[in-house]
Amino acid sequence: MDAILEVLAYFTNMRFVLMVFSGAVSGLLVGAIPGLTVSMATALLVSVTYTWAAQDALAMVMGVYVVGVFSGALSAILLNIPGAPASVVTTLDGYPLARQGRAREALRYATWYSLIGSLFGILMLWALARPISAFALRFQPMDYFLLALFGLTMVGALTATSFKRGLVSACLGLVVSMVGLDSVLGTPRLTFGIQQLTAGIHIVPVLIGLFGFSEVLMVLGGQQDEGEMARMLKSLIKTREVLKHWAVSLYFSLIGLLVGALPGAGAPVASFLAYGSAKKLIKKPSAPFGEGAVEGIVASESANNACIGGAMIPMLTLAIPGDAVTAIMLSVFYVHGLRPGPLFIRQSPELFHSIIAAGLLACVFLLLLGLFVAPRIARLITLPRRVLMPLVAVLCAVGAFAGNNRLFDVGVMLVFGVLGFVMRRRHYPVAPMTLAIVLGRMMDEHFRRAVSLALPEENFVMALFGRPITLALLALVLIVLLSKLPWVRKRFKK
Amino acid sequence: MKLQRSSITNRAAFFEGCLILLAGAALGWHALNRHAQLARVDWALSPYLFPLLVSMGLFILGILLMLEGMKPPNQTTKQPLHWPTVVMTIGCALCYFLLMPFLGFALATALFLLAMLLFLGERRVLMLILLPLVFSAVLYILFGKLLHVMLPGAPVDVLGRAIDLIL
Repeated sequence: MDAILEVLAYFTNMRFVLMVFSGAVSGLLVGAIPGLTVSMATALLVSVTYTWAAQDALAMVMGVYVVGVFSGALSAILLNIPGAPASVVTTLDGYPLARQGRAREALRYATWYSLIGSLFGILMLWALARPISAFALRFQPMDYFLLALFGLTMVGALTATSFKRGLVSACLGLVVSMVGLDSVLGTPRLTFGIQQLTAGIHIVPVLIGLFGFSEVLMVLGGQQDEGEMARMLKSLIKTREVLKHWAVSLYFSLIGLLVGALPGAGAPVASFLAYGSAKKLIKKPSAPFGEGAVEGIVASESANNACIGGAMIPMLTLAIPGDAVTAIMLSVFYVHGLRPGPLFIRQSPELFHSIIAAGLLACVFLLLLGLFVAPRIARLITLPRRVLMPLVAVLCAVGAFAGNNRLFDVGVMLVFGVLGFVMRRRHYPVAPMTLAIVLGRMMDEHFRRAVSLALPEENFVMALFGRPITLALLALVLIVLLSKLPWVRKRFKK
Repeated sequence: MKLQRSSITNRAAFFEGCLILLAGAALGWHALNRHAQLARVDWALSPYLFPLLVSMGLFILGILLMLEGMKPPNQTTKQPLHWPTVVMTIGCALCYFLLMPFLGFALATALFLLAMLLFLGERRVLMLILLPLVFSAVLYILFGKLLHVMLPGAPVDVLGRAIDLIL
């Protein structure tokens, strides 16, 4: 009861509400404009919110995250270009509906079911975070190492066309994370005599480079179509009519929550899975799937928004992010000297409640902005890329500089921007690298601690892996690795 | 081992594999070499234990990618790429980064935006003048004045000094 009152108290804190609102408006624009992504905006926000209180920074990030994932549907419906990867599936039925002159109706469906998905995810985060944290208190250093390794292998497996490339990306990220002073002995490691590297490669310019500047290069070099805007006719549809799919949307939200909690899978996978199950589950859709079935929008939008809460569960309770945005979010915690993990909710309950409150407030703004503002910003999302991208490049530079007030970081951002661009062109996903950079130091520390604790024991292997949790995690890592071996896959296909 | 020229069917993957294998080998050598220089430090506590493990991972992945390079490439649709735009954007960004200490943040930003807009085909004079000036000024005020970021300044940064005078 106290927790509920504490969360509700944030609703009356005008400064807090304003922070979430600013984030929500930014999220609406960023998510809707093709070429701008929620990950990019969150990475830029880390540098802007560097000097703010953690509560304010997280309130704004939550606003961007919740509304940004939803607003990808705007350009998906109006332009047939998903504003975010999570909205790819929404284009399948959203754009055909818009071509029939029912764009406003499609947007209403997207808004209401994004709201249901987001609310479901955040409420489940609220309910499940404490028991999961309590369980995670039993974890030993080796368990943390294996859990992070499981996260990296999963991201590698799910985000890349080739598993090897996903793992290469993760290994390169681990190398980057090891640069700087070693936390145990205090000796410089992989700095090669460069003074600026002694403190390590700062995460913010790396993230801005990988997600921001590389995106600028991808968009400008990609010669993509600007897209043709569907007409926005005024079609009347009652809210009661829109909401008649609420029960089935909870099932899609559950898919989103589970997929979101799995490290690496993220909203695009969730929406594809939900869409697939909608095709099997709903025998008589309003129109054939792919030709303007509102049920397609219901499945895609409830699942991709429920991922938000799902991805935050492992991030807050185990410090293992569920997707790229939560990996960047984790860096917000670190920048503010906070340590997510099993003790986070016990040690900082007010911050946990503020995240829940920010998520719920963002849901309110999602509804308001989605119903009243989204149909009116249609013209803005067709802002030409030749104007938009140079502005984003400047934001990347200033964002990279602002964290530490040093030009060296702008250089780091450019290097990682070009690296991210080359990797994406060569089908190496950047998400495993991001996760590895964020988790690398933790993995290194826990691994060395586990090995040095096990060394004096009589049976070294049993001391390392002898506990049931450790064995279960080791089995998970091995399953992911073995399932990618060609002969294992062939056997299972048979 | 002499590799037959025709056995490499996916050259890009093969050379990427070579590069990753070399990176793994170099990291492993560096880790072993640096650990040897540390006086009486056990491997369990060594800062080079984890780099050594990662180097092994890179080495194995490099070999696997090289093997992949010997198989026919997957039939994936290649996305078109306009290389001159990419090279020019990187070049402009590099100049922006290198010139910022000499021109100051506001002037360097305005010039970078002008160059990029012109290169990307923007020809509306009003847009070419107003957008770089207004956007640079907004960022200068937002970051330099409101968020107290110490943006690079220079005597020739007339734009920054003009904003300072107005404020």
